Amino acid sequence: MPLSALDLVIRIAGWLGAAFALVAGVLTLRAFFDPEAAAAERTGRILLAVATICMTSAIVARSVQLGTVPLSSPLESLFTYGWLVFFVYLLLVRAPERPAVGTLLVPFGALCALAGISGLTAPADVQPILKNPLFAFHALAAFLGYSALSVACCAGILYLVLHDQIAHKRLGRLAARLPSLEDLDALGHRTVISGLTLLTASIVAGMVWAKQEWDVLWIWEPKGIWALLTWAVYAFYLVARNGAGWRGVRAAWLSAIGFVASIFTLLGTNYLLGWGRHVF
Amino acid sequence: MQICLAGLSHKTAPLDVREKIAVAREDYGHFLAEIAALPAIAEVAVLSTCNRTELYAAAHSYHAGRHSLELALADRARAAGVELGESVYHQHGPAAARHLLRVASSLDSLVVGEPQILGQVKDAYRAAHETGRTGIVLDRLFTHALETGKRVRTETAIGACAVSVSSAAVELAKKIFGALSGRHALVVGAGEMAELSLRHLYEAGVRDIVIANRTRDTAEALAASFHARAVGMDEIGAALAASDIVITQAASPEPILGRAAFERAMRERKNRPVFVIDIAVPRNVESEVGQLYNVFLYDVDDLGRVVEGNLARRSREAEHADQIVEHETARFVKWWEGLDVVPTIVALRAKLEGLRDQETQRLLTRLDHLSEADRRLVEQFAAQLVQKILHDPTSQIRNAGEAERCSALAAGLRYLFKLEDASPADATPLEEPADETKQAEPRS
Repeated sequence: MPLSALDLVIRIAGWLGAAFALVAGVLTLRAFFDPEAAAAERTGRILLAVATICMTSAIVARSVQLGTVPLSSPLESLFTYGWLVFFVYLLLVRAPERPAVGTLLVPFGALCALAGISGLTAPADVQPILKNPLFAFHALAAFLGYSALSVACCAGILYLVLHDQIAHKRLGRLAARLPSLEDLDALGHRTVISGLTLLTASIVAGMVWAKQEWDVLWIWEPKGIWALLTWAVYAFYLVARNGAGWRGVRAAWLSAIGFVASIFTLLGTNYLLGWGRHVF
Repeated sequence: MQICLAGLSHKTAPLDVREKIAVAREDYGHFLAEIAALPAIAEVAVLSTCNRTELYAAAHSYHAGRHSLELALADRARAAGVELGESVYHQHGPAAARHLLRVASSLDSLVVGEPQILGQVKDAYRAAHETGRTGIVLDRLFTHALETGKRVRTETAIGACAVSVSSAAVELAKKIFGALSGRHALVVGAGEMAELSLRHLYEAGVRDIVIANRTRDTAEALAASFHARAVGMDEIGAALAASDIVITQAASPEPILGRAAFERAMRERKNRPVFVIDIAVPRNVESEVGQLYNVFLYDVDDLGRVVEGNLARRSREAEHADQIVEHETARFVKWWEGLDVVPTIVALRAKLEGLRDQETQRLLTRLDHLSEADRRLVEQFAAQLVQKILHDPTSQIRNAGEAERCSALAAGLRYLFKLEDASPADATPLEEPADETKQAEPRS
C-alpha cells in the first residue's frame, strides 16, 4: 500500500532527524561551555545539516501523504516549526553568532522536532478546504516567519545579557563566549526584516484565500487580530530602530516582546481564546 | 649526565640586580663559551630576559656542575659590580626540567600568561644551539619546553584575556563592535596610555582616526604614525558624531566632554553605539555621559577592574597549565632516565652482532657444500639467536624504573660484556630513544 510506505519514510526520517538534531543540540551546548571543544561545534553543525535533510524528507513525504503542508495539526506543526528553525539558523546566522545563538536555538528546535514526531498522528482526513496552494503558502510563510522571529528573539535575549554585563562593567565568563553587541543587533535586524516580510506575505495570502473561499477579505477573529498586533510590533521595531535610533537595548526588548506576541498568536488564540475559523 | 640550573628572577632579585646580570644578545656566544670551559659542563644554554637570567647545563656530576654555574654567575656579578647575595636559586634533575617547562609556559612570569616568554626561550635555545653548546640533553629539554609552552597556550585560556589597561580596552571594543576594521576613532589628548590604546586599536583595523590636542604639533606628530588627522580642541564636537570609539587622556582639571556634547553627537549618529575610554585622571568625560543611551563609558578604574578580573581568571587557568607541565615533565624525565642506558644497549648490540657476523662467516667458509638456500638458513638462525638473546636484557633494563637502578644495571652490563668504550659521557648522541626501540624489534 503506498500510504504505509510513505508512513514508514515519514517515521524513519522524522525520528532520525529528531535524534540527530538532539545530538547536535548537546554538542552545541558542549561547545559553548567548553571552549576547547571546537570540534564539537563543527560536528554539531554537520549533524544539524544531516538532521535538516532527514526532516526535509519526512516533511516532503508527509505533504504527499496529506495532500497539503504538514501544518494542519498542533504537533505536526511543531515538527515543521523545528525544521524551519534549523533552516533559518543554518542560512541566516553567521559564524560569530553561531555558537551562542545555537546554544539556545538548536536544543529548542530539537525538542520541537522530538515532540512533533512522537505525537505523529495517522493522516487524519484533512479538510478539503486546506488542500489549496494558497493555504500552503499562507501557513508555510507564517511558520517560516515565526522561525526567523525566534532567531531574532534569541539575538535579543543574548544582546540584553551582554549589554547588562558591559554596561554594569561586570564582564564574566559568559561575556567572553558571546558575540559582540553590534553583531547581535545586526542579526536581530536581519531576522526581523525576513520575519516581517514573511508575516506580511502570509497575511496577504490569507486574505486572498479568504476572499476565494468566503468572499470576504478579512474575518475578525482572535488569530487574525493577534497576527496584526504581532505584525505591528515588528513594524514598529523597524521604524523605531531605523528612524528613531532605537537600536540596541530597545530593539532587543521589542524583538522579545514581538516574539511573545507571536507565540500567543500561534498558540494562545487557539488554546486560551479558543474560537475562530483557524483550525490551527 | 645531570641537568643543572642556576639563576635569578623577578621572584628573587630586584630589577637593578637583574638588569646588570642580564646577558645582551650579542654577548651570548662569549658567555656561553665561558661557561662551557668550566669543569664538568657538557652542554649549556642561557635564558636571559628582563625578568630572569638562568643558566641551564648538562653536567657530568651535579655538584661539579652546580659549582661551575655558581662560579659563572659570581664572575658576572663581580664584573657588573653587584652583590648576588641570596638571589641565586639552584635546581637539578627533574626539578630543573620542570622549572624550564614552567618558564616556557609563562607560569613563572611576572604576568602569568604573557606571550613573550615562549619566543625568548626559543631565542635562548637557538643562541646556544647554533654555537654548538647544546647536545642531546639540552636539545631535548628545550624542544620539549617549547612544545609544552605551545600546548599550554592552545589548551588553556591562560593568555586569552587582556591583562593590561590598553588591551582590555581593545577587548571591550571588540565585544561591543565585533570586527573593528572600518571603525572610526577620536583621540583627545596625547598621553602615553592613549597612544598605546590607539596602537592596539590600529592593529585591530581601526582607521579614520582623528587626534585632537592642545598643542597642535604633538597631535600632528602622533597623527603621522597612524595615518590620522590632527585637529584642534575646538573641533572635537564635530568629530564626535562620526566616532565609534573615543579615547581621552588630556591634562585638564575640568571635564572636556560633557553630556550635552554627547547628546548632540548621539542624535546625529542615530544612537549608533559609542565606546568612550577615559584614561585621564582627573577625568575628561563627565560621568553622566555613561547614562546616555548606547554610550559605553569606561574610566581608568573600570578598566583596572576588568584587568583584575582577568588576572584572577588567568590564575585559575594556571592550575590547568600546571597539570600539563607536570605531565610533560614526567614524559621528559622518563626519556632522560633512559638516556644512560641507551649507549650501553647500542654497544652490547654492536658487540653481539659483530660476533655473529664473524662466526657465521667462519662457519660458512667451512660448509661450502651448502646450497644458497641453506646458507641463508644458517645466517637467519644466527641472526635470530642474537636477537632473542638481546631481547630480554634490553627490555628489562628499559623497564627497570629509576635512573639509579638503570645506571647500575648498565654498568653491570658494561662490566660483564667488557663494553669499556661505552661510557655514557662520550656516547654518540641518539636523536630519539624511540628509534632504538624500533631496532630492538626482531627484524623480519
